[in-house]
Amino acid sequence: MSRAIASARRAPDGFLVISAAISVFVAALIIYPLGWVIFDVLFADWRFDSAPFVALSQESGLGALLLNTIIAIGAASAVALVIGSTFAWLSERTDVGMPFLGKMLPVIPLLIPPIAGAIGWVLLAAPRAGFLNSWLSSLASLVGFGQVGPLLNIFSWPGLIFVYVIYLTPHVYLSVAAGLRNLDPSLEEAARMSGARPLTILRDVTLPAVAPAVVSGGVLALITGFALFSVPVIVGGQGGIEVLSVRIVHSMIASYPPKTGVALLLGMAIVVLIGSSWMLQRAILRAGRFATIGGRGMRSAKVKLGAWRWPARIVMTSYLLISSVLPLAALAIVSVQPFWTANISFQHLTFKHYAALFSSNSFASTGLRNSVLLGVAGATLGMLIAAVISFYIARNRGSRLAGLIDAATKLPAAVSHLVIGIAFISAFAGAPFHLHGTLAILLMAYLVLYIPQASLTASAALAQVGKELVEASLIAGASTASTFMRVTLPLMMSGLTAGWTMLFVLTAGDITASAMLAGNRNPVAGFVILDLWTNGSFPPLAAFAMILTALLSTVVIVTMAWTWRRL
Amino acid sequence: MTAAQPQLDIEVLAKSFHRNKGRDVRAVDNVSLRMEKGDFVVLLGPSGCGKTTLLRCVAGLESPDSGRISLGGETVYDSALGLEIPPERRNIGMVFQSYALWPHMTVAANIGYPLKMAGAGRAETDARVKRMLDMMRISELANQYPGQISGGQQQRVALARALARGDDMILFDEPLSNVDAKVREHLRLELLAMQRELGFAALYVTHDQEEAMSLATRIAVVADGVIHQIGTPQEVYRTPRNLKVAKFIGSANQLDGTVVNDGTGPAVETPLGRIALKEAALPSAVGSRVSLISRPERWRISMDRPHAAAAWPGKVRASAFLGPYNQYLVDLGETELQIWQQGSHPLPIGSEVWCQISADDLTAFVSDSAA
Repeated sequence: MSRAIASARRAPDGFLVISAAISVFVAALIIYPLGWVIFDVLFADWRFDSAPFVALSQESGLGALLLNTIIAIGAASAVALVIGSTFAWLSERTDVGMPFLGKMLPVIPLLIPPIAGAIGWVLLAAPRAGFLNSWLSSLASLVGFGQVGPLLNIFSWPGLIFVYVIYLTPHVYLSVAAGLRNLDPSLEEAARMSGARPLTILRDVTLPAVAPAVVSGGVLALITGFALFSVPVIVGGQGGIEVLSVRIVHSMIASYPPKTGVALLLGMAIVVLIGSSWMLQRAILRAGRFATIGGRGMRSAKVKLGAWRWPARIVMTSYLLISSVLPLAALAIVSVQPFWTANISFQHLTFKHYAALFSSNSFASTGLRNSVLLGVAGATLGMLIAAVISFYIARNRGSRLAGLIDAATKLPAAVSHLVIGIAFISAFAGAPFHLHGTLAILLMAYLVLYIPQASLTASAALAQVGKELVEASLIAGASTASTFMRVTLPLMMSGLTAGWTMLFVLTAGDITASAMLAGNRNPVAGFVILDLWTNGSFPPLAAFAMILTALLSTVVIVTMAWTWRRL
Repeated sequence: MTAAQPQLDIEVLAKSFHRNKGRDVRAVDNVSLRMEKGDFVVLLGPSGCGKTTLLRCVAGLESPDSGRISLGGETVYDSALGLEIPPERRNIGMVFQSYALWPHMTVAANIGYPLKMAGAGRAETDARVKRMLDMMRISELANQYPGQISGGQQQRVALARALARGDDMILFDEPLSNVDAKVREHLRLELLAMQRELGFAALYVTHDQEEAMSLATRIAVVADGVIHQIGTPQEVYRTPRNLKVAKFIGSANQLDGTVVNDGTGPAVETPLGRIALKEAALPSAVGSRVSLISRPERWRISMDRPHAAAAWPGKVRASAFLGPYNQYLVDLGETELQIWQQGSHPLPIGSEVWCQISADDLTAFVSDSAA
């Protein structure tokens, strides 16, 4: 018996060959453009070329640019770290009792794309026509303060940091909540039985034990923040606060020919910032001892908040309000106004902007259609490829090629979307591929951009499939291919579905790569939004953001409801 | 506080959990329990029977629905008064299943933590921690971290930390379930010696009856949220109060039958025929269904027909040599018996044998309604 299996394993296996081919192809798709752009920019004609450095030195305000980026994202990450960790502690360890919010918080960036939220907050808190400003000043005159100027200005440092915080908080929350969930609650109960009060336990036991999760939540916020393009382009642009990501995209699209050299070197600065965040994380983690005991899903005694319960609930609810309800409401109102105004008049409401979006072959409707198409294709292909790659890596653990492929699929997360966008333009847009502005270059770029998330979920899903189940199928005489199709894939399905949803939402709602790679001939949703924003046509923009949000959240909610029911 | 105050007094305590589909599970169903100083009470029952919930209610980590709990004469929970003292203000130590030693604190810091929380000064804390370490014979580990010491040493640290909190009453939540059988036996003996030496009252949760037998001064058999019987290990083993306890404690053979009396005396009609029993041994009247429970080691098995009246022919279906005794599975017609008997050579499978037992070793219980 065992000899039969051994010899079967030695024979060339068609499926393993195919999966190796797919894995190698994807790795090449990641490595080739990155290698190409570095070579093309820095070593034109096989000699080191200093021209990009000269061009960079002629760029204006580089110091301020770097400082802006570090201050805005550093401050926002710090605030997000405090808020996200507090929310995670409240919902995992206290009797605050808002399970719905706990489930919603981490998916808010998926439900409402950051670009829609940022635009929503512009509509709410722009100095002249912002709804909140208008309401606050009417309130002020009502209570007798007389006429006051605009109280809020979203186009400012606090405004920019505020919108960053909204979108960075869920990343921290997710990480810290997972850390708390995996922490053996008896560590905290032992402290209670030792006579420590809840806040003392938080300081002495909980925080030190989940420090790795807190640190990685903070680093995740930093990394996400550095690469985020949508928030600073909307909020920072008007306020005259420019950050690295915006300058990089503009170097590629706002000048002709594109300043690829400058963009690449600035992109490298982001890679360095991300790398230093990781080094910081490693340095912090190396210094201490941490609980690594896996939780066994034990129930834990909830800390009773007593009088603090309602204030905590109000604070958590207002986050939901600020991050989603208010901006969505503002978008909804403006989308049915003839023009953006804080004076809501019900006689003049109109659905013409929606009608225009759905009229055939408008620029916007083409963009939406393309995004849905690319979203479905990218998510399906991406998850399938990720499933095959994770299977290949698991079967060939220890081989050098598998290690290389594994590293390649993680690379896009480390080098930031901006650099990959630059690389794709310089490698595929011109000769010999001539893919500029096509759906093909977008699809390839999306696949590469989101392969780290896809392979992370796929290998987590694969880890859930017991090794014995696969071996039993092989022993039962099934080939590797039919084992994969009949045993592994069906058992991975719920994990893959979750990954598919995430990929669909990220792809269909993508701004960064779309801004650089899409063109007027083949617009996508992110491209359309930026176009409408630049033209200042707010009601169509609001209507478009509403439809995009509705589309993405419907997909997320449907699949979440489906997976929860199966749990 | 008089000396007559019990160490722990639980009165009609109840706690339900809401499960999906609106079904409530009564984890603790009106339980009362009283413990004196030096008592070692083991809550023994299958998993999910409510024993851990009961323990956590005493600790204050779980909120009961109703009832009353007092510790050393001080009421810590009373639903009628709406009183619930949080765990950090109940003066009891607890040893957790995973030991729950804080990985970022040294052994000494772990043990000293409850003292620090009680507001003890640095010098006093150091002195008491040193005494604890000496007592547990782990002084050399003071500056080690929990990840660097063995399972047995971890148990001693966990116990020392619990004792530093309150040396009157210690709660144990299945602390031996994570270690392998050999170490477990050793730790059990060590824990027993410590408890008898230091004299604290212990409330100990386990599903392992061997552990319960060896540690307890009294065993409380818990099932479905109810204490079915509480007594010394000998009492619950020899004279179980009902069928549930009899079947859960030790291995048991069960023979179902009907009580009859044809004038020659009371008997039970079973698939093996009519078995005569004393009037006093029968739990119910003629015509009712009963189960006869017997322990495997009370049966005798032989190749020759014994002289005793109560003997049945059977066939050995399985036979195993376990060292101290041999284990047999014997078919008596449709009935299957488990029998343990000493002997250097086990009887081979398929042997035609005779099985006998004294009527005194058959205990009759009213049958489960389910059976």
